[in-house]
Amino acid sequence: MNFIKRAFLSVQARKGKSLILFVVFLVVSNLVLAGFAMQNVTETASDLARKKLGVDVTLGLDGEKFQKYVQKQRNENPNERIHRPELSTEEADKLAESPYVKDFNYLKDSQGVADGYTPINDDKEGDMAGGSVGGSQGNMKMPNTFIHGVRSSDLLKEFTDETNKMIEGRPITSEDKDKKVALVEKQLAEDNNLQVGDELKIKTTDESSTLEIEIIGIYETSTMDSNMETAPPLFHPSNKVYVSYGSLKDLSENKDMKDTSIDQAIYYLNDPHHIDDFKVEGKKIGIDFDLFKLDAHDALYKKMIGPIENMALTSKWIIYLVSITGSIILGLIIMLTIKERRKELGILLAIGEKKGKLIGQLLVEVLCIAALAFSLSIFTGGTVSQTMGDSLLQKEVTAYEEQENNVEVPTFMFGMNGDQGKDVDPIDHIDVGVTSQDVLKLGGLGLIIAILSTILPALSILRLNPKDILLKDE
Amino acid sequence: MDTILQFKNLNYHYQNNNKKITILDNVNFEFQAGHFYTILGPSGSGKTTTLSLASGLDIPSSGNVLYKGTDLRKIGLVTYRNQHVSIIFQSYNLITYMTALQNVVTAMEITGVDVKDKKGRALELLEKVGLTKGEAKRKVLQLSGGQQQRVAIARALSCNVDLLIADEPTGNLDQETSMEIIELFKELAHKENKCIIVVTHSQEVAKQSDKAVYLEKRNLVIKE
Repeated sequence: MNFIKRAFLSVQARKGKSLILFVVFLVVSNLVLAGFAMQNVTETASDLARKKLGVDVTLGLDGEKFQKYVQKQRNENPNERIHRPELSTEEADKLAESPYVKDFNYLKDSQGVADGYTPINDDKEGDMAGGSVGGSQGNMKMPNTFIHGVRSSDLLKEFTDETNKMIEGRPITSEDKDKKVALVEKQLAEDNNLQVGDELKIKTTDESSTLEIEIIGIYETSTMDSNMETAPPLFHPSNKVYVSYGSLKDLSENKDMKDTSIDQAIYYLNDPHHIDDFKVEGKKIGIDFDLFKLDAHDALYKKMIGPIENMALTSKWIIYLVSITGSIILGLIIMLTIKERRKELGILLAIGEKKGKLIGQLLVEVLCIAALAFSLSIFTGGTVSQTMGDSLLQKEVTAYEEQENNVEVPTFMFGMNGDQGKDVDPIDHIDVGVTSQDVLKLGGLGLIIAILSTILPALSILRLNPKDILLKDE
Repeated sequence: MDTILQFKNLNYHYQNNNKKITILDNVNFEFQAGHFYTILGPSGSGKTTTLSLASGLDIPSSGNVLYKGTDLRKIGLVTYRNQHVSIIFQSYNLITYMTALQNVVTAMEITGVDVKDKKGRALELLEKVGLTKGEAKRKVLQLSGGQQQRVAIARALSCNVDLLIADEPTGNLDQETSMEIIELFKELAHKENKCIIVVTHSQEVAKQSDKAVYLEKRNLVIKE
């Protein structure tokens, strides 16, 4: 084992060369460690994004596909009315049976005309109040009530985040599916002297049918602001009436169909990690995915995580590039070292040292320096990773924002806002911590780099002949 | 007398521009234990080739180099160099990043000499060739040429072999130091029964040897 001792003596004696190798290894290990650490961040950020966005997956119309569908229908049948495709609860129920689903909600939006009570701001509309739409026919009333059909009001974002609070009565639950029940806003209730247990009447805009529903609860909304004083009744938050989704069947064009039609189904999963599996499962059910989609706030998720994913991709390339160029540089340095130490190797061969042990000596020298550099990089890696991560992420966020600004904002359509009004900013700061797993990975990769960059040039030792080195050189 | 090394029907030639150049032609010679030999000859006569063949750094084109009756090819050149022969070079060929002592200990470790206290033995040998303890612990480049050659001799002796081959060991040394080295070789041959073969240009060194062997007409000839 004396070659190990020789290796240590050599490293100590060749301080300059050892320092150069140490610096190269330190740079390589810091960059590789930063690369590994940044890749880990993606996973953490993904979990963070999922936690922030929630574990809900919305089954609803795909806006882009629907626009194409409308365009196609207009071209093919220009005079025919285009019916908005609807989901049936039968299809949605199948998906709700998935083991990944903890709870679910159905949404269906509609508009109607108050009958027997006065919506907020309805009297300020002047000529428009009680007016009509429908062009020359003039047989359609202007809607003044926004009706929000739900399976469970408690699951709605505005109730979970307490924008709306129940102040009287009870919420709408799944038990109310076939009951004609409603929740009204406090201001509307006060202005019209409505109370829990009273009956509310809402007509369709063509006045062909009337929805008669019992008020089971009163809620208070905090979305009011000064603009609301002049808002048209349809858009005034106090005029929003929550009803059981089954109640809206009476207002539907397809009131004869066996199942109730809905705009969206929202599934709340047990675990955010099941989102992809749930989507795969959903595709197997007979839903028309040419028009509908399962959306787990994908756009928002992409917005939050996009820059980090790009950063992770860049860090992956950094690992490849640094490993390859680092190995080449180290290999060249070692090749030059071997050339420089030809005589020393010749002397040892003349004494009867085996060539394998000479290669072993070089390997120990390189591994010894590499180990020192790797050890130091454990302490410096955290700072390097954070600096690199911040810089890369900032670039990605800027690039992402520029790209976002260039994208046209899609037209808003009722029942197609899968994000329920949510919005997020891209993740623009991350804590890039070096984990023990990163250090282990670095150790493995570093060992491979050190061995390859030593063994390949050291193979030239096998061709060394002590006679040529020691006698011909003299 | 014990024959340590024997050249038997030894031929050595190489090709140069498709022309066969013969260096040694059917050489038959025996080197005995307890003798100090010098090999002399003009430049290009084959002194270095003879040294290479004797020290196991090269193999003959035909014929045999026998160590105590066994062909070197059978022993293996690396094993032969490791266990049976030590070489001393004109330019010392010491490992420069080591001290004199470390050079000697390294050789002992490589050859696996069966000595428990290698450091103690190395200091003993360095003292024997005329180096003080202080000099032994210096890096070899801090020593004079004569001292470096003494370290090379101590290194050769440390391997505890019967055969020492030296290539112009006094070539870089002054007259006084050269004579001291030659006296050391004579002592090793006569008192420790080693076979010393020195390749040299120097007639002065040849005169001190027991047998001066001349390379003439591609063969080894003894001139008493």
